[in-house]
Amino acid sequence: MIRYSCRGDHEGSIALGKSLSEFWRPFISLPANEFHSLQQAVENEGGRSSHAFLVGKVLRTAGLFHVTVGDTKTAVHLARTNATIYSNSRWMKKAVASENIVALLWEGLVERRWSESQLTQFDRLLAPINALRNLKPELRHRRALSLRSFDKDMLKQIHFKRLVRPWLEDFTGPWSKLQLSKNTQEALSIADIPDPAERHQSRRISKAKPENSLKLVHPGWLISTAGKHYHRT
Amino acid sequence: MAYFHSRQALSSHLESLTTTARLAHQRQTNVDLARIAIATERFRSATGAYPQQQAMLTPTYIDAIPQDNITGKPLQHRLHGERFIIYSLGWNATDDGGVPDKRSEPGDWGWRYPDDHVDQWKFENSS
Repeated sequence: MIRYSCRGDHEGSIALGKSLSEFWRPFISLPANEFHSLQQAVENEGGRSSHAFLVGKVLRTAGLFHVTVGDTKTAVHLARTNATIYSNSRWMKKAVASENIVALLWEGLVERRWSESQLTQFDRLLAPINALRNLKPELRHRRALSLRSFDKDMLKQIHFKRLVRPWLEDFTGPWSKLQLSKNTQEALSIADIPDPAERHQSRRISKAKPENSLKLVHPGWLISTAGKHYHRT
Repeated sequence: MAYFHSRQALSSHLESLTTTARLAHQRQTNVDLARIAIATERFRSATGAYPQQQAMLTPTYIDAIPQDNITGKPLQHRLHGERFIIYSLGWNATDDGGVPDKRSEPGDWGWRYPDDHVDQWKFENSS
């Protein structure tokens, strides 16, 4: 057993010599359509959470180089294949960019196990990963779902649904404030991601007033529930 | 009352947005740190010592050094004998000396060796 530590709350142990990748190994060379069918089968069995769980298990391999590379390729393949399935893409990206990969690399670095060529291959695999690339549409997706449930409870006017429905169906498209109700506009003003260079100006307010729980700050940033407020100085 | 519950529900959903954003930044940071660690190890293999500055890694060992996704500035990088530590300032955008964050406590996002050298780092930095 070897200890790894990438985050404080994700410390744990990996059992060396035991690989869970054997489940996926035979499928790596499958044609794309058959591979997709396999994914669908997994989906039907357990849903996307189960799918992500399986991928996560694949990534927790034994620290063997060829196994690690194979599993990483598999996970990236899964992520790319699922690119058109939005919710799955989200889960896949989480799995691919998770600390599981980092933990494997970390193990090898601690033991100085990787050769120059192996390190180069790892870097080549990691370089294309960008978990922030689709973050904005993902947040818009989640925001749309949130507002849908919000509006379902709060506003039952038929005319409002008629306005919101087409917007929800195209949540990645540009939004017009004219399409939205006054209450919804207030919530919508928050979900744009600020430029990373601006984020350092954010600070956390430890004590939040309950009445501010929906006070949405910033032209660009979040958020707002009691006890967890971020706003810009 | 219905209005109140709806606001509470929306508040909960909005918090999930924050969590999503934080996790995405954190996972990308993990990948970025891994790439820097790989380049650092390659540098050590070639020269026999770890680089004193991240800039020494480019362009031979990494094409471009990833920036801290939180601050937009270079990631923190420190050496200690045969070991090194690299970390992002984390969601709180504050340098906590490389102490990793936990669910209840804010901290940094970084790499550290299995032994707990973080306290030592913090001590050395404060002295």
